[in-house]
This record gives sequence, structure tokens and C-alpha cells, in this order.
Amino acid sequence: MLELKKIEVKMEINVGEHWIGHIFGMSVHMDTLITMWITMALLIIASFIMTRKLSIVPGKAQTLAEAIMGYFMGLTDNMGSEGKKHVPLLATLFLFIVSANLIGQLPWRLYHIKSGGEFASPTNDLNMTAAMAIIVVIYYIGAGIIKKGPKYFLHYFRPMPILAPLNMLEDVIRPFSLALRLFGNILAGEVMIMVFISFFACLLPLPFMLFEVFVAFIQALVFTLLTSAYLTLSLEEH
Amino acid sequence: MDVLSGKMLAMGIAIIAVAGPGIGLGLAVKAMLESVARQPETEKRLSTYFWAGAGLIEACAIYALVVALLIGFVIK
Repeated sequence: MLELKKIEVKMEINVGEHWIGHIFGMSVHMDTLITMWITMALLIIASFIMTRKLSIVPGKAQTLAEAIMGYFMGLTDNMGSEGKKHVPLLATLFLFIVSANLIGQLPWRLYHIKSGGEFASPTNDLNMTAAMAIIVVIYYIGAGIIKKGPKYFLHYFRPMPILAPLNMLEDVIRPFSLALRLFGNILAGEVMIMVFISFFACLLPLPFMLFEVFVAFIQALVFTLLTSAYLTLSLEEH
Repeated sequence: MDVLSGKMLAMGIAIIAVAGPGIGLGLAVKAMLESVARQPETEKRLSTYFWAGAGLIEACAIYALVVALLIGFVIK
């Protein structure tokens, strides 16, 4: 008589649970930090390799790097004569967000963290995307103040003075929407893939993982385009 | 009604809000298709605006999803 052993597989969908570590007396999400450092290391190593032997007649890696940089320099065309100094922010945002989103698709679940949480994209943590959004807000307000002095604050009264509260509120809503958009897209993709893994792990998640690759690029593009739009708006002259 | 049933009901109601951005994206794609069909040479310029706009519209759907996940998995 065959006795089928009942194998019970419990799949937990891990939403919002992180491995909490303590650095300098603050509690941090160590799993997000570790994957963020790995992303940064990848980007720095890639940029070193691509810029090692710069020459007038470019090799393949240099052509790729120049094409990427050329796109961001095109984005800063509307920012006035000194627009080129904002290219590092835009390029960093785009490349980091793309790499961070894509790193979540690697098989991190092979390593099980004992104290809860799992390794995944660093951008599936609201703290990460909120930090980037706050940096963007402080940067564009600071860039406006540096360029125009205290006259920057006149732009709140611009189309009509009665719209001033709305314009000030928009400075609060923009970082919220930037952070939530990126966080929601990446987290929703991961939760969807986890749900499909709990149905049938073999090949079913594959189309969704391909869709996640696409979403990674689109979300990075939307974040960068919005940042450049906000910068252009805050730097414009009448 | 205990907490689990309340949470399930709330998650189900929260996700109905995804209908709005669905219609919005349909309108955006409709505008894109009609424009490209009229003037195919503007396709490359329009596609940048289209993808940026689609990302923004999709964000509204994602807000609803975030609220649903918050209700389901984060509230004890």
C-alpha cells in the first residue's frame, strides 16, 4: 500500500517585513542596505571598466557610455546656459533606479535570512524611494534658490497670487507621489511574482518577470523625466 | 465581523479603484494611436510623452494597490 506523505509547503508572502539591524543606535533595514550597497558596487565597477582607456576614437564600451550620457545631456537643454551641471543627478537617478529594480529579479531567495525579511530590490522599501524623492525636492528648491536668490519664492505666486497655497502644497505632494509610484510598482511586481510562485513555481512566473524588467526601465525613466521637469520648472526665467 | 473578514472585505473594495486609471490609459493609447496613424513621422517624439504619461497614470492605480496591500498585510 502506497502511503502518500503529505508535504505541507507554507509560503509566506513577506510584505513589509525586514531584517532590522542597528547601526549607531538607529534601527535600519539591513536587507535593503545590503542590496543597495551591492547595486552601488555594481554601478561603480561598471563605470570604472567603461572609462578605463578613453581615446578620441572610442571603443565599444566608451561608445555606449557616451550614448547614455548624451541622452541625459539632451534632457538638460531647457535648463538654461548652466544646465550641464545637473546631468550627474539625472544620470545617477536613472542608472541607480534601473539597476536597483533589476537586481530584485536575481534569485535572492536561495539565501534565507533567519531574522525575518528577505533580499530583494532596494526600491521595494518605502524608505529608499522616499529618501530619493526628498533628495530631489531639496535639490530642485536649492537649485532654484542658488540661481535666482530670494526671488525664487515669487514663483509660488506666478500664474495668479490666489494659487499660492496650491503651489506650496505641490512641493509636498511631489515627493509623496515620486516615492509611492516607484515603491508601489516594484513592490506590486514582487508580490505578484511571489503569488505565482506559490501556485506553480516552475515556469509560471516567467512572463511576469519579463514584464518586471520592462517596468524597471519605465519607472526609472518616469522618475528621471519628472525630476528634470521639476528642475526645468524651478530654473525657468520669465 | 472579525478582523480577518473585515480586512478581506476592505482589500476587495479598495482594489475597485483601479478601474479609473484603466479607462485613463485606454484614452491615452487611443490618442496615441490616432496621432501616429495621422502622422507617422511624429512617432518618436510622441512616444516619449506617451510613456511618461502612462507612468504617471499608472501611479494612480498603484496608489490603490498600495492601500490594499497596507490593509491586508501591515495592519494587525
